Amino acid sequence: MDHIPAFLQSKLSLGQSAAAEISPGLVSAGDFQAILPALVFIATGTLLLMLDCFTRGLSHTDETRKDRSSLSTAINFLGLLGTVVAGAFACASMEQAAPSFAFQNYIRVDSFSSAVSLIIILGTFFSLLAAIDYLRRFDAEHGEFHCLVHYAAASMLLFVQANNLIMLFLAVETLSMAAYLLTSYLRDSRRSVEGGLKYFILGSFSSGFLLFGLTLVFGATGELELQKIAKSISGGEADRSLLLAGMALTVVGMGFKVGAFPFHSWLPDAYEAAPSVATGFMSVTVKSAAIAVLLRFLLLAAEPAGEAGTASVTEILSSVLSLLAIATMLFGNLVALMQNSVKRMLAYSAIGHTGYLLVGIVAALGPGGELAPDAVIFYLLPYTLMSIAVFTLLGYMGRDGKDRELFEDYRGLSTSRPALALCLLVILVSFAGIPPTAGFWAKLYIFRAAIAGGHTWLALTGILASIVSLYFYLRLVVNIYMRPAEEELDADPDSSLASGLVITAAAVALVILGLFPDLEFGSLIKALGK
Amino acid sequence: MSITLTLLIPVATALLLLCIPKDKTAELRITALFGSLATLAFSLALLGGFDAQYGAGFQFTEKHEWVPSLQVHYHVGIDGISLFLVVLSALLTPIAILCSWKSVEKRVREFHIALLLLTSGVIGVFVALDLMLFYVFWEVMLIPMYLLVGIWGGTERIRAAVKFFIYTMAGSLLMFLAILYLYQHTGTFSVEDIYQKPPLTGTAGLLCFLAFALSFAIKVPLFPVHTWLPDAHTEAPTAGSVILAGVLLKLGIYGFIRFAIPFFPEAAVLAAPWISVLAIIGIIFGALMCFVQEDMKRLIAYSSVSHMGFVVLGLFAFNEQGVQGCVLQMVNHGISTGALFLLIGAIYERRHTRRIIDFGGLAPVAPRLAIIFFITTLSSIGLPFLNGFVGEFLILQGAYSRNIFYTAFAGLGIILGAIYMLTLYRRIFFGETDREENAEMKDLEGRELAFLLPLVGLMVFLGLFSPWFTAKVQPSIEVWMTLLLERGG
Repeated sequence: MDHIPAFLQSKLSLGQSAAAEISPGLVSAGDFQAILPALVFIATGTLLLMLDCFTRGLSHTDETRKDRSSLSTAINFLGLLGTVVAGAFACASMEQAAPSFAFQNYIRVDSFSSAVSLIIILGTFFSLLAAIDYLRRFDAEHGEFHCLVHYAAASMLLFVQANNLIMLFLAVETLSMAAYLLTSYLRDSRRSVEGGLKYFILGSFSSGFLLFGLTLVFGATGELELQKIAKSISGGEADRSLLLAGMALTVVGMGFKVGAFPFHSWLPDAYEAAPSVATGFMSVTVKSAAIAVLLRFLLLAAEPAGEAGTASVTEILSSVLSLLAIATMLFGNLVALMQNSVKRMLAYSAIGHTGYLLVGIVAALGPGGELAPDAVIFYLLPYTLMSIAVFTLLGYMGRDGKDRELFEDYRGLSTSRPALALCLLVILVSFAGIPPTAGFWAKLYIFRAAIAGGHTWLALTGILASIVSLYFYLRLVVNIYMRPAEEELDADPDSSLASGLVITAAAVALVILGLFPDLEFGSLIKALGK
Repeated sequence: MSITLTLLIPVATALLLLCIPKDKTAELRITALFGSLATLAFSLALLGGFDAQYGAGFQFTEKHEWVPSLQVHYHVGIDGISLFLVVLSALLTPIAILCSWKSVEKRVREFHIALLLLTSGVIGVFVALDLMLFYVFWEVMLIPMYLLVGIWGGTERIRAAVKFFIYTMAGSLLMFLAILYLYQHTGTFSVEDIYQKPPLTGTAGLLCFLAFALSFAIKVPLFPVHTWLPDAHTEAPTAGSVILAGVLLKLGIYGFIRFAIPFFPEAAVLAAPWISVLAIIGIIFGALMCFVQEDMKRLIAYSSVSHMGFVVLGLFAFNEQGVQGCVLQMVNHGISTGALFLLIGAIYERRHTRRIIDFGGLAPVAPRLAIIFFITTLSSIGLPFLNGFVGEFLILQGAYSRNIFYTAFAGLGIILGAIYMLTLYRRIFFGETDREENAEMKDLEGRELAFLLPLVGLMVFLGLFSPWFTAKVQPSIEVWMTLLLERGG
């Protein structure tokens, strides 16, 4: 255990958790097996980066164009292949009933982390698919895009599996780095670079909060491992005021990552600045990972209710989170109402969706919260499909190196591209939470969990926010279906099948999921070990 | 299986239309027409197989698991109250397709797909016996209606469509919350099971009732949440107006009967005087608004507000006559107002204007139109021997035993109704044929007669043989009244 600082060694050797014994060797083969999906991402990412070196020498001249395009095809293919393989491994780990630990309990693999991993991998796959022709048309076809996406995905998987505060922070920093770079990926575009910088500065700031919060939690409990922290808190050994401060700062740091009000200010700019495929990728995967980790962290570190008259740390946090949820839902949806750019509208509506997810987290913390984790994870699935599909569309319809951003730009889409318009209709209907799409059931499960936990007010606010959201989702429908086109509207002639495939697949999946939305409640909460 | 088939045939036809190239308009129309006629045939089979003496409960029921973790079932069935509404919905769809044969030229394929999906959604609402299934159908039908108004409507169509959508959705989302709350307390979505559970009382019951009631009141529409209706009606294409007036407005009343009132009887009784007063305001207000309208379609839309006020008044009398009149009048209003919209649509197709002032002296020019319009007008104002009379009479009788003032004001509404409808008729059909365009107007053609005459036949039939109708409805209403008493209404 040489790699662990001395002052921690004593802590770690104390009271091993019953689930796993620390293996005598430093690492074993089983450790690597546990993080296989992440490893696949890291391996393919690195491979792609090396492959990319060969494209550098090739210019746009006629002689080398063929080599260049075949290399690009190879990169695209490899990238997608890596994602599929990672997905297969994550699927396999979904099957295991009991949680398994790896790397001296730094990593914990259970069905909760596997479910979130699968959603992240799905988002990655769709983003990479959409990126194929997007990058080509924007003349930004470099292997590093794929590489960054793969590294980001790998760190997100590790983030979700992290079972130790140090691991947690390392993973979140790695994924944030990748996200900053992806935002400023179009390095010739001023806007993209500016958005990336803004994201970076505010992001580092929030990482500071997060680190400080995690440190205080460590200080309060004297433990780094989540299970031991949980034990220390439930045993009443933790310093309460220190714990409260630590947890609150952690919530602030994570609130930034998920884009909760009032820590959202980076989000619209970053979303707008990033190339649409990257926006789609970040909007769903980063949020999924961060929401899942927040949920796991708050649930494990829950303090049992104290004597009458004193609120426990969890109760205080839960009421703070309720306020955040209410503010986030209302703010996101109300401000989205005023946007003229579809991309900004989607960015603010993404804030609104964070609010719904926070409602689920609040519900999970209270009594009767066993329905909530499943509801939250289920919510992420349609949200991933919708969000990636709609950002793909923005890029797909783009022209001359620019996205098609304004509402008016979509006039008459239904006459020139009826199938595409229909898919978009399904996606928007799902965003608005109207049956028979998956978005409806996602909201249903969240609000049901909220009501079951006695948070009727949160559910009511969510409903009111949804009513507001109808208007701006409909605004796009109005432009697509009801206003005549000023000019023939079509996708860029250079676009390939891939983007259309992403949009269609998402729409079909949303309807199928909407018709068969069954979900086994209570399974994930068991996986979390509560 | 017959209910499922009635639901599935429109969807299947819509899918079939997707396979037909979009420029083959004649094929598209004929396929859609046959699909809707098949739906009608199946709904008539339901009518034929319906056993009025069946006793309590629903007929033709089917129950399959849908979402096991929430105990949501695909559970459908009909009773005397929903029976005629299902038939009415199925009847109006082929009529809507026929009346758009020439007037809808753009995006013919999408138009018929929307119309057929709308039919499925509406029938689904009437047959659903699972609260979540009901809610899914309730929302699903909104989107086709929204598109019908927004794409094929008049000049102000987008505003009207958005207004319609936001109004209805705002109501239904609050109802959604109430449904979830109810589920939390009863642990079931099954309507029949909820009937058996002790009702929610106190503030929670009242708030849930209000959430349901708001959603249904918007749909009816009840004063003061009626303002979407004149816009939607005026801007919708004829087919849209027919379905809107004929079926969609009934969904609200049906929701009150099937869900809101029996679920929360205590709150319903508490709210009844208030709702009745709103209904009466709607009757008078709607009628007065008709006097100042220049657009015929808008006039009929406001008359709908007035007529639906009667229906609500009858329902909230909570006695047998009132409820019977309410059910009968729902069907009557669907037939006569549907016919009025069809006639106005026919006039608009010829003259491309709906302003009353542009007309006059049409009677000698278009006698067939004039006769059918006249019968429909009389049916709408409730002349004896036509369908409107029995329904209105029963409603007034029911309201009388509740409160004499209700009847007095509602009776005033009937008189006002006769005045504005006859004035409308006089201004369009009588007087000098002073305009050249009017003098050259063509009379109704075979296709139009084909869909108008059955409706006229129904007006006469229901007027003369209303006992046939009430016999089928009566047992279900008795069951409903007993249920209400048992649950403390």
